[in-house]
Amino acid sequence: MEKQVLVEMRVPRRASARRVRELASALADHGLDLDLDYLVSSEPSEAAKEPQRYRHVLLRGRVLEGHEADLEGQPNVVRIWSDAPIAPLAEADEEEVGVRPKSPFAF
Amino acid sequence: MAARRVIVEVKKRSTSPPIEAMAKAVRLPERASSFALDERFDPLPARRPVHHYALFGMDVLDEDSVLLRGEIAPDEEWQLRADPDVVAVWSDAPIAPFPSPPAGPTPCPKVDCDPSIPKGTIADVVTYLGCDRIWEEGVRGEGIVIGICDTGVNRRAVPAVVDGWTADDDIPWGMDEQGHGTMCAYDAVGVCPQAKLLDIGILKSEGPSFGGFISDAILAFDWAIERYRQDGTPQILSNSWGMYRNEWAPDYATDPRHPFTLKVLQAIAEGIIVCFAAGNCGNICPDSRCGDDVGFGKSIWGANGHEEVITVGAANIHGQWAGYSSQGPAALCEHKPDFCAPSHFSGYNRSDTGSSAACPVCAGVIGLLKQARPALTQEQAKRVLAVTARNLCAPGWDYQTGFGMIRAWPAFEAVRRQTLPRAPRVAARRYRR
Repeated sequence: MEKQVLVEMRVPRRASARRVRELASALADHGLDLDLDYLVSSEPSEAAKEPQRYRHVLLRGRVLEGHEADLEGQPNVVRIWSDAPIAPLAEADEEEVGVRPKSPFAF
Repeated sequence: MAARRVIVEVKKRSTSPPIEAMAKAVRLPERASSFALDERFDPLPARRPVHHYALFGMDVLDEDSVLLRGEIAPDEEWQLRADPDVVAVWSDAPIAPFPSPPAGPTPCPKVDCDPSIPKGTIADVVTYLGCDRIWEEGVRGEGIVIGICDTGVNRRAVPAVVDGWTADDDIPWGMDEQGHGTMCAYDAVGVCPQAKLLDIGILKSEGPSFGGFISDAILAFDWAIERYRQDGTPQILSNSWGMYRNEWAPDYATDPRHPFTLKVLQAIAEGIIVCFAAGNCGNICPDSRCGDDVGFGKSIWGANGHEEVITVGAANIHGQWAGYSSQGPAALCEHKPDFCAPSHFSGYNRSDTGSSAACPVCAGVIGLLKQARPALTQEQAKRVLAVTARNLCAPGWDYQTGFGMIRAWPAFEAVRRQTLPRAPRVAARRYRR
């Protein structure tokens, strides 16, 4: 079964987005189905000293459950994180949505 | 003067073993004669993040630091700090176990588990909080931009929306197919009527019990941070979403190093005030999606309960705590929630409910405070709302309601006087069943 993950990756500081995606595409050999549209810079999750020539990025993809350890063992991969499902904190009652009382405010 | 215990952070060459720092520390009494090193305490790598190095005068390539323990007379601490090999001196603070959370259901005398029945309207909320008095002072949110991170905002229902970000290009900003985000937007401008809104649509995925992925929230916060750098807005981000169960993603739920949590901290460091709803998994009448994760210590997950964010619980304007409002301790911080804001009132829906409704009300109140004092920080906003809050359950802070219900007018007066109160005491209380 596949799960959606975030891949925290260490890349050369000056690497272009294209170069980062090239580096990431090599992770396909280790079970990562990469979302090519997703790339965002990240603070390092580890407090350990990182040489200044590197920066951290996040990539998104899907991986077969059980393959995370293999992926995490790759040299440029810092950590595999859950792409956690999130939800609104109220149960929406569709019948009630949009039933607005007369408001004193100018909407 | 009695010696006090300290932790001393000492530089060393990064290629040397920790014992080199120990050797340096042995010489410290030459500078501060009362310093006594505890040689039983093994040097511990401090592992500072790279961006700390310049701050502490350390060479990022050749140095790192370790922690040592010792005792010193308080009046000689400055001599220790002056040593070029000493990075910092910290109190070796006495610590004690927190008292166990209450075993009983709740110490709150009044609980509302019927959110479908509104207790007043948004106009009543405005009066109850004292926002109307703030409006009379000419402060109605001019110049304030609040980001509503949610399912989207229907721009026709809430015209205050001026821009946005979407996780789904098929549902652009200004559209909300679900209604939850529009409710949040309506409630924010309900108390802060001249504020502009950003529709930050992170919850636009399809799922049986969820509305999005944290990866979208990361992108959205990144967008908000970049925008803030460019024009100073949004000043506030309101987040009425979260995870209902630890098992959905335990690493996000409990690890403060998760990339989204770090992104939230980055937003706060940039100057954005970040509010999160506490959640709807309180132990009296939890949401069905909570499963077994309800009540004390099992209902505020991930960034919603990080120490630095403003965590908002729900209560109604009759002073009744919402029995589903998530209870502390949070997974990432003991003293959560921070306080409550009103929910269960007629607003966008016949009854706007959940900690979801409370959070944007709080964000709107902060919008008013922020207009009155543009330099107001996250910490100051949290502090002023905490010390001016009205107790709902137990005196002081408690796991249900934090410091109680926020009060906009007293907070506004404190902010306007430019005399922000000192941080409130948050020592965990002892509970009796």
